[in-house]
Amino acid sequence: MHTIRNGILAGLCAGLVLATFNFVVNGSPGSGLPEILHWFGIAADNGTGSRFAGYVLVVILGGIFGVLFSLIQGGGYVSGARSLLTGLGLGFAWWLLLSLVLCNIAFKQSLFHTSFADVLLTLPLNLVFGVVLGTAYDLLQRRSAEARLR
Amino acid sequence: MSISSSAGGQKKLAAASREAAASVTAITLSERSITGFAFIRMFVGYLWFQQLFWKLPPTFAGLYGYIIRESQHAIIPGYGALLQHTFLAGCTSATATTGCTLFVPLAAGVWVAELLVAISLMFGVFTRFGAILGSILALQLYVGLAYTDWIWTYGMLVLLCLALVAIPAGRRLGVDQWLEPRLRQAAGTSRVARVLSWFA
Repeated sequence: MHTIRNGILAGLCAGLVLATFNFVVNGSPGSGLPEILHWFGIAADNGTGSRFAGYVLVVILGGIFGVLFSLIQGGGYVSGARSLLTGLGLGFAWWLLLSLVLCNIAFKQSLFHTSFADVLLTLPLNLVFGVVLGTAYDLLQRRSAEARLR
Repeated sequence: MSISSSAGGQKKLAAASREAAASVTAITLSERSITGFAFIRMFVGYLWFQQLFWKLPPTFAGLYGYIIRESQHAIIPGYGALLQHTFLAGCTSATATTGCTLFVPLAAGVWVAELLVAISLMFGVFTRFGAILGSILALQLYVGLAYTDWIWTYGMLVLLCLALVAIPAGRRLGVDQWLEPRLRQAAGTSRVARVLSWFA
């Protein structure tokens, strides 16, 4: 139970970072966030409401990836290195499945259609998501273990 | 006489140590504070990351106009001439890089340095190294462009990077959280690990 709770908290924290990265963009703040709603077939304009909904959706997706993270780890204590690598793996999975494949499906393009600039712009942000997920989980896990010892 | 003077000395000493204890308190960053700094680190890194896209390889053309502006408005005497004889050597146009002999390799160096700063700060890997490199790059921007924008624009960037040199913000929510304890452990036997552990 602690594992799932820690996974959700770490995922929400990492999702918050990723959503804010998507908000703080050149030009109009959060202009790319409604596109994330399109990935899931949700019709959205480019208004403030859609941007806010896109922001919240990224945070929720972070929480879901956090649950996945904790399921992969199983119930036991996980080393910092494994936690970090699993986080990076899930960050890459987010980029591959959502930012690349699902986005291309939504915009009716070939599955792996991309460019150097697109990869450079999106992949590092998803990997940062993974690092935050892994390290936040590691910290929460240590805190839970300390609390149980007390 | 000697007893009373010794007692007076002890009183003075006690008062001095009370004064020292009252005025200088040891400061330890709380978990919340260092986690806050970790978020600041990520977004300062993101700031550098976003600036990679308007001067992409292979031409780095976006940088050209800024180098020309720096060569005209530098606040340190001789800095403009240095740019003229390095980045802008052989250049014949104010708008395109035609004729430039050294612009592309030097601009590639700037781009790679900014990429390193972005990776280091966003991922929290050897964060202090990234922050030092960021401070140098930002200082260079301040020297060249301070009077072409709001005077504090680049000054704030220098100060932000210097704050991240002072505080090891990669040790929370960054790769340094995993890396630093291992380097510190190895520092007893390896001088390289000792140096690297400070940068992490």
